[in-house]
Amino acid sequence: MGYWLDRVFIVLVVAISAVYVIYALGSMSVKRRILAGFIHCFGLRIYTLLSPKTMGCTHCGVELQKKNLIRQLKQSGQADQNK
Amino acid sequence: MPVSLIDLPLQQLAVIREVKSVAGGADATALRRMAEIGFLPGEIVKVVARIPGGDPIAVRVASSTFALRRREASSVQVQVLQPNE
Amino acid sequence: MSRANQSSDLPIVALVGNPNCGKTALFNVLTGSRQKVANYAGVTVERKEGYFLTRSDQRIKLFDLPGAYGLEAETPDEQVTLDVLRGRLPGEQRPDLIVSVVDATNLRQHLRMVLGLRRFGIPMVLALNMSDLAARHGLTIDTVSLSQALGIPVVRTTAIHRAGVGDLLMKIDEVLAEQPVTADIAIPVITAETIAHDHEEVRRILSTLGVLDSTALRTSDHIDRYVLHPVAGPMILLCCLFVVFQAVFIGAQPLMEGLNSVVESVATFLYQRLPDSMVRSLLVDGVIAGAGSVLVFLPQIIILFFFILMLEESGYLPRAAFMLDKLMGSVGLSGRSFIPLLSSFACAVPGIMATRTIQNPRDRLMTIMIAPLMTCSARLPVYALIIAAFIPAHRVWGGVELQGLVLLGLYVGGIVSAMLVAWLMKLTAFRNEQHSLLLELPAYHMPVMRNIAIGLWQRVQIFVTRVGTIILSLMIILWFLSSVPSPPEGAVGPAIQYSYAGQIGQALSQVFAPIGFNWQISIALIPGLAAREVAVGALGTVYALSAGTHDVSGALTPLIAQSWSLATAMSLLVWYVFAPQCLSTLAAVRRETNGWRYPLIMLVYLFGMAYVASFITYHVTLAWTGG
Repeated sequence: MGYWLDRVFIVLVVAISAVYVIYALGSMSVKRRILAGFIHCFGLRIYTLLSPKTMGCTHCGVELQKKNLIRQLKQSGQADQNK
Repeated sequence: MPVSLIDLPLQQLAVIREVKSVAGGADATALRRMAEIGFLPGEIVKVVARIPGGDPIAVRVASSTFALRRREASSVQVQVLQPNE
Repeated sequence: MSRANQSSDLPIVALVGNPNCGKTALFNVLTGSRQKVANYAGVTVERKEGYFLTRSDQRIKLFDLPGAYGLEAETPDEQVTLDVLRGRLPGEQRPDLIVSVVDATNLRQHLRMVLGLRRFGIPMVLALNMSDLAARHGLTIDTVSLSQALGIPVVRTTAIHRAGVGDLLMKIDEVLAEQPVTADIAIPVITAETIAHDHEEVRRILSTLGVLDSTALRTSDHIDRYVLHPVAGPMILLCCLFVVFQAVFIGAQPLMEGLNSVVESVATFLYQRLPDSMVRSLLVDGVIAGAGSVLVFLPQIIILFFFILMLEESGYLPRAAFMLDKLMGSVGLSGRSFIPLLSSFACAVPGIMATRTIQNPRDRLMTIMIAPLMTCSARLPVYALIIAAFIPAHRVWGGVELQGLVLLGLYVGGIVSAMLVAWLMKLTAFRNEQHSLLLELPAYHMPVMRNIAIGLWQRVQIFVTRVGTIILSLMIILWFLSSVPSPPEGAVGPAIQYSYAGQIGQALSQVFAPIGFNWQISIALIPGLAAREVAVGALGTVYALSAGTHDVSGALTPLIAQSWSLATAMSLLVWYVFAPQCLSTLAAVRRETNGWRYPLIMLVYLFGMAYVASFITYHVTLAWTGG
């Protein structure tokens, strides 16, 4: 039992890491797609909860892009959960 | 007798007479930028430092110091100020 | 309404002023740690925003607009300032109030900017900054007359001593309550006549104040006599660099040992408490041996940036650019390349982006191509690890730390090879021409510890965030690849040899054997492509897994000291001077040059140089050590 729980846990952790690496190294359009997919699946509330408040990398402008993306999603009504 | 900024001795105070385009001198953009940072007639200048070979030079104008290339410096005509002036 | 929207209803105040007027110091005093650094959308100009409370407890959003000499937008920085003030930058709101910051010792130049700013129709408060310095030069400025002459409120401030901030907050309250922003009025095109006109106006104001002819000989001039001296100047520059690299090793030692023992005790604790399972291996071998071994280099990063920030704050850096201009010109670079190349010592990506300030395309391309040769801070952990393992902590020549000397050598090696490449490019592909320099050498300032502390804190955050996100993720993936599949029944040797990572490493080591890399290094080079310091973490994980199950003394240094030859270590050091082991840099080059051509050229030439240089180093060291 514990053995299988271990396996599931590890697969989950490795999968999350893999997605994160793709997100971090990917181009802006890849980042957009991953973020949009994440928000689509889990809702904006969880996203804002997880989104780090700390300063992002100063030169990639990802933080700004995220803000714009959220604004767009809100306008298009995809993020209803946030009412 | 006005001299060009490149010929002004180190630490010698002088007053700017004219900033104009000369052959091999600063281009129009550089001239405007120079006006903006304070290279204007009537301002007091002094050469603070020269790299051996005279390029670039550090010039004190009013109360700021700027690094100029020989090319820009040659566009600035100055009049040496005598100590009693 | 969501929380995000509330903050956008706050009044917006923008700090505007010439570069070097103490604007950033004022920004730090007003906002404290409540600030955020990012970029303006679409441009690489740094965007700083923060929050503060006025006397009436009104929360205000504060922008620190890029410093500008004028308002006709010749550089991207000035363009941003202009666009924000006109409300023309998408995604940015027009400020409700401008705090125009001027250096009281340099009114002649800075007041011209104030006159220009008045034309924007935004209420304004003038902060007469550095007024203590002005007073020390015998310059007393009558703020009432100045306020009358300009038609705007004037407040005397001394940002570095936090003086006058109360008055400023009060004035901001008053003006915000009284004056609304008017619509964007047509701003006249700025010509030589406008400049001359404003200049006359400034002279008129200054003469009514009785401070027209105050060109007091400042302390800076005295210092410059030595610092910019043809002989003493370069010596001082060299000494500065020397001290910095000595300090990186000597100063970091105790801190690093402390951090190391913390990491080790966490590893031991987890190892003893958790049952023998894959999760334990993930935590101990993957997370702690991997990410932990990168984290211990935090002290070095802090010390390096402490000195860089000190040099920056004091006003020394532009003077270094001034002295190096000739040298850079001789290999076909301009003094303007200095600042992008200097920021490449932190990270090549912002360095490459900063090349946008170079107007000449040829200069810009050359600067981009050599920027990765500047030793970025991500290489520091790699260098520090290998140096600590292989270079004895001897003192040579009466107290000079040998390790620091080797580190300085690696930095100089990077610079020299960059110069060499630039020179070769000048000979072959690019022709040379002269450009204007016009670089301000600001007055020297005593560095303010508060600003240094804020700058360091931002660096620490960036580093720790990297370790906690991208490096951690890569380590988890590497651990996974190094753990599966499990070795066949009855296999001898550590399990990692049979894993995917082990197989890849062994295949790669065929390629890298001529330059002395073993399969462990070959594995570490792959995740090291994502970020250089990952290689250190990867070595940590690989060695932790190959060491078997009983060794958890996380310390990587003695491990590699045992298992590598000196030739291998030197070869790896040299490899890291050249190798373009950074995907983000290549991506930045692709973005900046609009195509794959230059990133590919860069990839090939840097890997080529790395391989050749490492090959030579390996075989020379091998012959020399009699191996």
